[in-house]
Amino acid sequence: MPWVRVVLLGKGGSGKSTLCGLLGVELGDRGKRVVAMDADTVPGLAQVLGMPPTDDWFLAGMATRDNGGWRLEGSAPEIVDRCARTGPSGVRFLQIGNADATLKDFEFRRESYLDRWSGTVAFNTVSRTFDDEDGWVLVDLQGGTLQVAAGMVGTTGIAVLVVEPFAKSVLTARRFMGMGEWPTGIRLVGVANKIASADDEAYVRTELTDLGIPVWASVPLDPAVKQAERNAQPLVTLDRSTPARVAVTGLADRLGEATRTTVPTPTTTSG
Amino acid sequence: MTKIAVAGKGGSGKTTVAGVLARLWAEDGREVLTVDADENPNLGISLGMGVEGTYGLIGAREALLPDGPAIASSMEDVVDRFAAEVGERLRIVQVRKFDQFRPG
Repeated sequence: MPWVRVVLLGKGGSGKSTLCGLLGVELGDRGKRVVAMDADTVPGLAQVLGMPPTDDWFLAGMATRDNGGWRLEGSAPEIVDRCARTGPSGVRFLQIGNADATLKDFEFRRESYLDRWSGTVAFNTVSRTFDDEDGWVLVDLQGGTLQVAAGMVGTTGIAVLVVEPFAKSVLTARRFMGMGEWPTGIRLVGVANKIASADDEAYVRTELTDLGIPVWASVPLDPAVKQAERNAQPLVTLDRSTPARVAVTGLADRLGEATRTTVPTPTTTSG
Repeated sequence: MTKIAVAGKGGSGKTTVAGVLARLWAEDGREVLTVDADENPNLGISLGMGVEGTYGLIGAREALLPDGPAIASSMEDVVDRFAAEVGERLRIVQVRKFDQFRPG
C-alpha cells in the first residue's frame, strides 16, 4: 500500500487534534508508519500525544531562500528523520503551524498572505515522506477553511471533516462544501464528534447527508476525554476501551478499507 | 461608544457570548454593531440568522480589496454598505471569510 494522507478539518474546537492523535496511535499500534503534523497556529496535537509543544524542527538548517519564499533542503524522509520527534506508538510528530513567525527570526518572511505561506511549503514537503514506502501522513489543520483555501489539503488523500452536533459546526461544513470544486483525488468524508444522544447523531447525519458528505464514524461525547484533559493526561494514554478510542478504532478500519479500494494513491509529489 | 472584544480558544464559546451580549443590549435599547472578525465566521448563528442566513453574509474585506467590487471612503461607509440588519438596533459586519479555493 502506498502512502496515504489524511487531513483533519472542521470548526475550531470540534476535536480535530484529539481524533488526529488517537488515530495516529491506533495506526501506529497496527504497525503502520505514521507522521502526524500539527498545522494549527494554535497547536494542540502535542498535548494529545504527550509531546513537547515545540515547532523548532525547521531550525535545523534546512530552510533556504527560494524566489521570495523558502524551501526545505533535503528529501522529505531526511527532514522528518532529523526534525520530527518520535511519540507514542512510534508516531513521528511535527508542528508546522507557526513556521512563518519562527522563520522571520531567520530572515525569511512570507511575501504574501497565502501564495508562499510557509505552512503550505512544509505541508507539501513533509507529505512526501513516504513517496517510496508505505505510511500514513496525518495532518491536523487549524479550524475553518483558511488553510484548505491555501492548498493545505493537497490533491490526493482523504479529508476528514469533524462535525459536532451544533449549527456552527454544520455551517463550517457548509462552507467547506461551498469552496468550489474539490480536487478529484481527495475523498471528503465526515466524522460526527461529541455525540451524546441518538438525536445528536441524527442531526449530524442529516445535515452532512444534505451536503453530500458520507459519515464514516460517530464519536461519542466521552467523559474520560474531558477528565484526562483536566488532569493534563495525554489522551492517547486513555484506556482502549473508552468510547472515544473505540470509535476511532472503527474509523481507522474504515480508512484502511478505503485505501485498499477507492482512494487514488499518489506516486510522486503532490499539492 | 463602548467596544468589546471577545477572545479565547476555538470552540470555547466566544461567538456565543458575543451573540448573547449583542442581543441583550439591543433589547435594552442600545444600538449594537457586531463585527465577526473570525476567519471562520459563525456569529450569525448565535444572533439567530441560521446556517444559510449566516453563510450568505459577504466578507467586507474581500469586497474592498483592490480588485474587489467596491471602494469605501470611510469606516462608516463600510458599515453602511456591508452591515446586515439582524433585528431592531442590531447589525452584523463580517470582516472576511475564506470560502473559495485559491486558483493555481
